[in-house]
Amino acid sequence: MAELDRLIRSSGGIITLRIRQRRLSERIVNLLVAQSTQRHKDTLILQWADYHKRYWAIDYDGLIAQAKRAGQDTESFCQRVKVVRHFSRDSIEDEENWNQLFAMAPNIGICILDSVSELFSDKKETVNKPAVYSFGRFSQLCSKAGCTGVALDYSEWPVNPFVAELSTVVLELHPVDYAIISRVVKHYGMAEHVEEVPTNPQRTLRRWF
Amino acid sequence: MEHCGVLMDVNVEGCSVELLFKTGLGKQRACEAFFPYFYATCKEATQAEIVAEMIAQHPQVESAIVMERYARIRSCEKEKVVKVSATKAQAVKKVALDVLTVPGVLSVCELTVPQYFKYMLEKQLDFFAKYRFSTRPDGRLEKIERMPVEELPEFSCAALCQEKKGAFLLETKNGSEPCTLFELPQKLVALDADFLFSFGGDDTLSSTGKFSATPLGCFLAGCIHLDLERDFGHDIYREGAAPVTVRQVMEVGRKRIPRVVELSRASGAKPDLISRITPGRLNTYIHARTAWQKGFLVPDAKSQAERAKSLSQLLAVDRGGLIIYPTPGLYRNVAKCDFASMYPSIMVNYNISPDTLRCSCCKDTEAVPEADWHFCKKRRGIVPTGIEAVLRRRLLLKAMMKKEPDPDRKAELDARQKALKNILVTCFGYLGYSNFVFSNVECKESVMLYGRELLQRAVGIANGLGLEALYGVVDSVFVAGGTGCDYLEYCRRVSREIGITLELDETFAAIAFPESVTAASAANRYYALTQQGKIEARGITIRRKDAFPLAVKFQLDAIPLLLADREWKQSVQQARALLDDTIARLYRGEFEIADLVVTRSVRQSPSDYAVLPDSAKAFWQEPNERFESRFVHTVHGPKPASKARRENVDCRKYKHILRLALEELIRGIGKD
Repeated sequence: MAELDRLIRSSGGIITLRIRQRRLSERIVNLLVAQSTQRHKDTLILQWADYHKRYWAIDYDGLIAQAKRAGQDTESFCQRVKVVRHFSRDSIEDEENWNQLFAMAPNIGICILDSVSELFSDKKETVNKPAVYSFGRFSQLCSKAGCTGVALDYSEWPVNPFVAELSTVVLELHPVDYAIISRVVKHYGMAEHVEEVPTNPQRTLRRWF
Repeated sequence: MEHCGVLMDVNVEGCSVELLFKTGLGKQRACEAFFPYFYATCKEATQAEIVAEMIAQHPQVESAIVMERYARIRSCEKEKVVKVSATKAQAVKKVALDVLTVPGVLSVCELTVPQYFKYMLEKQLDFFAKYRFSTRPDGRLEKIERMPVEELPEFSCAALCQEKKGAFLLETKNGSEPCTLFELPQKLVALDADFLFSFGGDDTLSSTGKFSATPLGCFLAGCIHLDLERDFGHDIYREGAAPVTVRQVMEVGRKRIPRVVELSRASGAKPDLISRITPGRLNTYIHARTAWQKGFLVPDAKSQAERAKSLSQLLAVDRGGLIIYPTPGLYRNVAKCDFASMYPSIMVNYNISPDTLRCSCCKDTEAVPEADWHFCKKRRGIVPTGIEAVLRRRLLLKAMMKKEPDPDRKAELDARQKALKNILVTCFGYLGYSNFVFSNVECKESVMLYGRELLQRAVGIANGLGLEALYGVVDSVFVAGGTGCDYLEYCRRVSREIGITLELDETFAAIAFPESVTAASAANRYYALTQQGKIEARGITIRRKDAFPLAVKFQLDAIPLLLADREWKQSVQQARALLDDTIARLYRGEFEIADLVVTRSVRQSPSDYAVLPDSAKAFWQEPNERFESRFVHTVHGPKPASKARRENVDCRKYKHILRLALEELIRGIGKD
């Protein structure tokens, strides 16, 4: 997690996190928000969700617990984390909604997009115009705010070429027993590689009793 | 020619509309010229005339007229928009796409609103209303006026059942007759029924290939096809079992006509659609009609996103209904009072609607409790206007039902009011559904926040009158410490002060609130005896679907013993004696196997379970299509009911369950 946090702080641009397991992604988002929320800047969570797939569930308790663990002041943390719930397919194409977000740009320290795949889950390689428009707008928002954008992608299909093109880093996380396999798909300064990070090092020891 | 009839159907085809009436002389059709239309909004209001001129040059455009409408749900002032009429219904989509390319056009609206719906709004027509109309010899409608009659004529009905593939049974007033698939279309035309009932007819008729099927269902020309399977699926308050025989289909279908009539009148949706759309979708029809009447353009999709909110704001406003936990114990003379249609009434009373949210004209008005937004006090919103009409109609039907002496008419009125209840119970949830064009999550949260505040106020009023509020859950409150008159006075006072009717639902001679397993107060767990001696319970064995009959019978016998007017200890002793007696009879074998059968549904295959539950163990010994496991605990483990033997019953297990059944009734009561 510390590695991921460093990556986010240092890279800038858009980091696409591809995680298929929902519980892991929720945990990682909570950790990210808790650790990356800065003192004088807001963290913006954009929920791109389809009603039929997910309701606007926010794990308030999990977020606050992680913030406490990260040594954040809970009260000011709750003030600084901003959420736009349920930015649906219809509202995403409305210019007025984006203008509201652009007005917030100077105060944004980190922007989390949850998630690319939920609204645009096409497995086809063809260009999906609304997806291109929306992801392009998200990229514009991040560059206007001068902040890192973290885009979550839950799809099992290969990364969308447009999303990959706009992202500076594409990272895949895959949980196995007692470990998370991380695969760097794209990075501006690193070759593609796979690494296994134990979630609890003690559990990986063999037990003879 | 002049006729008098009930409007049954309206269809737009090409550039004309056809109206179908049921008159005393049979069905009568009338047609009228109607050019399907949509609206185009302009980037600049001053350009509207120029834009209209340009659009009018399109070869498939009949006319382009500048009109004044509220272009968006949040608009405060009407602006100039262009009403674009196409030459025929099939050309509307193509014209809309072309219009979007015209310079100065911002967007197109009302493309998804059905054309028949727009026609009916323009002409102020309602389904199942009676009209006096005249037609020319060529069938063209000349004049139409509504008659102030609400009574419905006698509808001719038929029922259809598929016996086997290709063979049907058709029931009419003359009895039932078999017919083949090839005969069916002709027979239906010859019958000329007003209603055709079927159970699953959408699937069976569509699969024959003899009828025109749409993704919504199988519609028949000149006849309302009521698929009872779909109708049951969309009715929250359905009663009775699904019909099996063709006669049952006919009987059930006839009973459901009032529901179709009421919902079609209330929403403006075609009678054919009522059984095929959800109660939520009916809300869309109702609000679209209200929006149109108020001069708004009905949006095709919801575009307004929620404003960014901080976590602290969300924590304050994103809450559920209020629950006041009861102190475990036994109470006597308790009243259960319910707010009548609480959430719809809040929407109406506080003018909760996306178009009245954060208005600029009433900035100094009181904000929603715990939130930083307010609703307009000057302009009536779309959602409350639509809901109010349904609420009033339902109250009227309920009042009529109370006065009605005839049981058949009473049942019909009950079916009608329950049909409207479907709309009212879904209107709140639908307000938070993102795909609903009139939804707004802040409106939904406001309803919840007002609901919490009102329940707290109701508790405060009870305390002020010297009553004790024992338990409150969302829209009902249990009060003690008074008599029947006190409770009636309490309901009157709350209704007057809050503005929503609080009804005295029931008075209990005694009620017990047991503790939960974790020794804490439990919400939605109580058992009570009404003044008439009826048992009412929540959250205990007798309410569980998987409880075996012996446990249910034991609890039903134990509850009157526990709630009897005497010392709690004595009551518990009596209940324990009953338990010992039940267990002794169990060990003596004085029971039927059916008394011990546990019924549960099985949802997964054996490999999907980490630990195989008893229900699954028994089910896979004797699988069935219903995925229902009916089993008995035996000394050899769970066995399907059909294979269980009396001598193998695991009496120890049942003894343990029966003890738990008593324990859940007395846990935490009479501690002091």
